[in-house]
Amino acid sequence: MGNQLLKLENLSIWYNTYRGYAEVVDRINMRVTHGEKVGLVGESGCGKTTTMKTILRVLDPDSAYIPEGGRILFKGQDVLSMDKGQLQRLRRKGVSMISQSPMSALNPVLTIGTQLLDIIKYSGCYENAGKKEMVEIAKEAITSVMLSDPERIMNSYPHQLSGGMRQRICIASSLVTPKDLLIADEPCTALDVTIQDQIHRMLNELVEEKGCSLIMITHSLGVARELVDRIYIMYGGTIVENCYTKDLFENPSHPYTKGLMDCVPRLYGGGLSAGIYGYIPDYVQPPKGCRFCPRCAEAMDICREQKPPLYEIEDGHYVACFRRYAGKHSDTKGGGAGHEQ
Amino acid sequence: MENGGNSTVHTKKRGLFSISARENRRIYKYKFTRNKLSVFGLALVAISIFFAVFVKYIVPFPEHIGAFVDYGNASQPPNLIYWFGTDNMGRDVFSRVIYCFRGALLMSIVVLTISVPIGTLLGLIAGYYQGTKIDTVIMRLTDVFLAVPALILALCIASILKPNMMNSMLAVTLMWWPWYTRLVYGQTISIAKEYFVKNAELIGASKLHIMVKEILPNCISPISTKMALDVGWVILMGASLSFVGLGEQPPTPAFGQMISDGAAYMPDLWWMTIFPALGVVFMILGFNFLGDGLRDMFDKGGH
Amino acid sequence: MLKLIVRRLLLGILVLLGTSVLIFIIARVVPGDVATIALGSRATDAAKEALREELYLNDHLPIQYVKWLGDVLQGDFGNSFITKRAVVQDVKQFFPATLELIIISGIFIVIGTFTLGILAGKHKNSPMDGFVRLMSYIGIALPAFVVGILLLLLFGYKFQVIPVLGRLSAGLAPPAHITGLYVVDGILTGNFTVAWNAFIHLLPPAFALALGPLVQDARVLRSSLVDNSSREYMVVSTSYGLPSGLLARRYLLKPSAASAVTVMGLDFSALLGQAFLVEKIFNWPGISRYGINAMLNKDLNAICAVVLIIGFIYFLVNMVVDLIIAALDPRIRMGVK
Repeated sequence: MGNQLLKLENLSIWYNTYRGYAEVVDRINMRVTHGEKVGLVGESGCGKTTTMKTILRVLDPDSAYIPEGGRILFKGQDVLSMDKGQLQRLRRKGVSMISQSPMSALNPVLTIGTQLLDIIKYSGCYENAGKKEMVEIAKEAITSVMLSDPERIMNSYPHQLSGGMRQRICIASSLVTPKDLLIADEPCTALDVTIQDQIHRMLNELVEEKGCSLIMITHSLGVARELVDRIYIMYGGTIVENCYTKDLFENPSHPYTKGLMDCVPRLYGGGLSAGIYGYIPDYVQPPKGCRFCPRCAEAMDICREQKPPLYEIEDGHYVACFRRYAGKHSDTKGGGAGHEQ
Repeated sequence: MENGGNSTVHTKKRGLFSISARENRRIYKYKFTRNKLSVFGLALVAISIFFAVFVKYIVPFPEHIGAFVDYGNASQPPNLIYWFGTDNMGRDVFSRVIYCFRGALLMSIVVLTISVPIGTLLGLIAGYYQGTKIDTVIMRLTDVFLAVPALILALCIASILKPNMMNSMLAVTLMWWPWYTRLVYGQTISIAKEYFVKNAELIGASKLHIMVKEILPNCISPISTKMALDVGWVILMGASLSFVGLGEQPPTPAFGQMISDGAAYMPDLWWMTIFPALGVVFMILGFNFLGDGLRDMFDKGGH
Repeated sequence: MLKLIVRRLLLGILVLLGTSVLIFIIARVVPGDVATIALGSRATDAAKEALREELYLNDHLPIQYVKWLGDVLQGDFGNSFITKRAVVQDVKQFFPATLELIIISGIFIVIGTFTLGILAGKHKNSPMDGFVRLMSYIGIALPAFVVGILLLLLFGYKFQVIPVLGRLSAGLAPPAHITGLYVVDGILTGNFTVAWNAFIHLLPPAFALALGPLVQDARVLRSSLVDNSSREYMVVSTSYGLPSGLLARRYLLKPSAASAVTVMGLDFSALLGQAFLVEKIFNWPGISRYGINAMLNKDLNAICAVVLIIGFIYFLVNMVVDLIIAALDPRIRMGVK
């Protein structure tokens, strides 16, 4: 328990829509330990970004609602019940996020320099630094993300930089002051493939250098395989599989995961996959049981009735699937929320 | 995901997911009624229209609207017989105020019916032929008309001509169309860059078809929102004109005219001014709330 | 940036020329005989003919225009039929009054918009916000002249605490003419009684003019603030733990101000039009009142002059507003689409 940096416990997040509450995230559990790199993989709309934004509590309070029972523990403290001061400290020194749209993540009417200096000044880490020192720190951060001519960049406005440059600035902003955890939300979705690789590598190096933990959100299994130690597969607002990277690719278990793997075209032929039949769930009226059930070729009766808990099918490898449980030994109580994993 | 059993007939092009027409109407209704004020506005507008159409049947003293004097009953404060009191000539203020609704509504309808199509057409053409001489000519002309504050131009035109209702409607129409040209111009330019327009061009659709069938339907929502809001502004403009004596000539009443006449008798005969003022406010508020509601309804930002 | 200004200036001149043509046509295409209208039906034929010569009415319309334009560019707008003296003189006399009124109204609008807009935006959906929204709706429906009449009633008769008519109370002489703005001149010449008196007299008409635009613009600012507060860059800035005061001022207000300033600019220019009626109500000796009288009495020379001058000022105001917006939003400054 003491080793864990971040722990999401039984967390649900609902959105207020014109048709009622959309249960976008349903009782998920996640953990990240110090220095660990974790991947969160899932398709668009499955709740990944929502979950991450909740950790920092930057969701719009008018439209997002967190029902009772969920907890987000950062270094043992529940983020959801933090007061303003504690929350500020969390944001300044604990966690930072890189958003998936670099084009809109930077304030358009302020220079990069202003934005970076503000972060440095108010981070609480450089209380005694003078302006010159802060400028140096900012410039150093810019060069650390492999951008040249930091002076010019400091004086530029976001619209004068390309998408790749902006994303690097976002990364620099997140890491300019020391953080315990970095959440990278599909950092390269909006960029060219050629740049993606560069940025992922750079991100990896920075994270290792600074010794912080990383949650990498992506919809690409390939990226996850390259960068992270452990992967959570998310579908329809629930965690369906969670294991070490190696295990996932050697032994994908959940039907959804298998479907995802199938979708990647193979070099040695076999044609294109058939894809995964069906649609993502309607969050306002979600299926009572397993959320993947309507699309699952292996669905059983119990799948429609109850939500499958996470079963440990091998060391450190958890799957939320009744079908897998049927064939494996498990020490779960069954039903309801998943157990400790 | 179940699609609610609706068939996907008449889907509108909105982003990734096609929504059926019935779902669309539901969303519109929800968005419109979310704001209680819009519904309130709709009620006010309905009442205004009712007043305008049926004035001769519902007012207690229809003959007071025309040439009528009765000094015996003049200058009475609001009472049970004359709900809004009588003016200095003995005419029932209530009947006259209700009649004003007719003139105001008529003016809005006439002005907008003429100026909106003209303005829209010019804007479409200028926008579609952006960068060419046609564009420059039309937009410079628009600029010229917009170079002078609206009221001044209207006053100018209306005062040069003989003061009557027709001429003031003409004056307001003449200075109203440029706003729509500008609006549609901007819309056309941004829509013309969209893929569905480029595709239509590639298939070989005629320019007329593109302008009318592809670009115009996408302008409908900002145009109609603006129209609803503009009714209020036209009424205001009309009131301003009649305030200085242009527009409806006495004895036919108009909002601004009644306010101006009443001002001379303030504060003693306060009802002569206050009630017409309330009347014009009633109408303008109604149309503005309605227009806001329409804007919310068409707003794609949503939740 | 400089290029933008020069382009706008040139364009503006072109447009003003166009306006001059428009107003000229309107003025000259008056039904009825111009000379008769101007001098009255009992004027002698000789007098009418002299006037026609003076106004070039015997020439073809385009030539009339050219000759008239020539005169105008030399500063000669002809004589007013009503005051019987050079229109330019009339304008010089009446213009400062309107200018003063508009400046004070403008100041009210700016202060009011930012105060109310920020209060409403900060406390979204609170009673304060609801109040501002309600006021904005009422403000739309209450045209300046209605507010003016109500103020007249209120302060002219009910609570006689503020004078309502004219620029100065009876018995006070205007200060030495430096700018023509009584308040400024009063202060500059040390004549504080007059300056204060002039200021008080400015309050009712300025407030009547400012109320409508003020509440509406406050609402625009409020919307802008609310919209921008849910943008990605605000979410990101919040996630860095920046203090809320800094976020509000620098990160939220600056990008939101642009739209409010645009609307304020439009409203400010519209003030020129609204002033027409307000001046009539408060008996304000300004150019708008002069203009209305000219229009109602078909004083052609005066009409042309007033409209052109107002058009020119409108153009200046629009340009200044555009410059301010460019200063606020670097994307516009640098011409990014």
